[in-house]
Amino acid sequence: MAEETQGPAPYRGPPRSGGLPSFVGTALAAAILLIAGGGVFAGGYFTNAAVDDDGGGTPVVVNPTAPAGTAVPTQPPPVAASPDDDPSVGPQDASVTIIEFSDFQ
Amino acid sequence: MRFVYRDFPLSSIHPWAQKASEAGECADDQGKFWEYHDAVYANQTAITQALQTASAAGDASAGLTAAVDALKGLAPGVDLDTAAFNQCLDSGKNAQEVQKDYQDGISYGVEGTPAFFINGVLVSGAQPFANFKTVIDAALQKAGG
Repeated sequence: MAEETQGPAPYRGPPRSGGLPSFVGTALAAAILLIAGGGVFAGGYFTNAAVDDDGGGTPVVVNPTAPAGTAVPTQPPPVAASPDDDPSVGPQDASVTIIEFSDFQ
Repeated sequence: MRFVYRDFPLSSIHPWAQKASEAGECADDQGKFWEYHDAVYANQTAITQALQTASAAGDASAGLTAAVDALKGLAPGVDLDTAAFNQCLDSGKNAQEVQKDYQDGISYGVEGTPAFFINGVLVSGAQPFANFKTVIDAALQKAGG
């Protein structure tokens, strides 16, 4: 009798068109975010591992004897570009020198 | 980190680029390269308009003269000795230096501007900062930094 009075309709909520799609969709979205987030973190980790050679025993080591040009696969080999006697800022003995070739127009 | 500016005037498409590069060298002669560099970039449109207006009224020569006058007009704003600057620009004394830069750039593989060599590694064009960071970090690592 109790079953009769409770009845299925008031307790089963509104009719659903497709069972669990909204729940599944949420779960999928969460999974995708987790995967994507993991990818980003992993990418960040490997990037940092590749550039931060601070002697901390990092197991991921970029071949230290590789030419610098291989750091970016699309780059041609380095060239011995001269700073000539052109305008510059920064110390003459800097470990990194950027030489820009540009025009004003 | 050291940053060096070398000239690569694209004269075939930029009619006042060569004289602007010479003007930059004239400013450098007075120790004011970077101030003048910034002033030229800030006034690119005005210089081009001066050239186009004079070209329309006269000829290409008149246009270039107007552009050079506009380049001279920037000198007082960055505290250059204008008489020396104007004489330097008119004499063309830095024309060969500018062309030396250009030829060096060609020999290094420069095909357009801007082009950057980071410890010799070419980064061509106006690229996102992240691309520069990648090459700079690699250069630092190789240098033992």
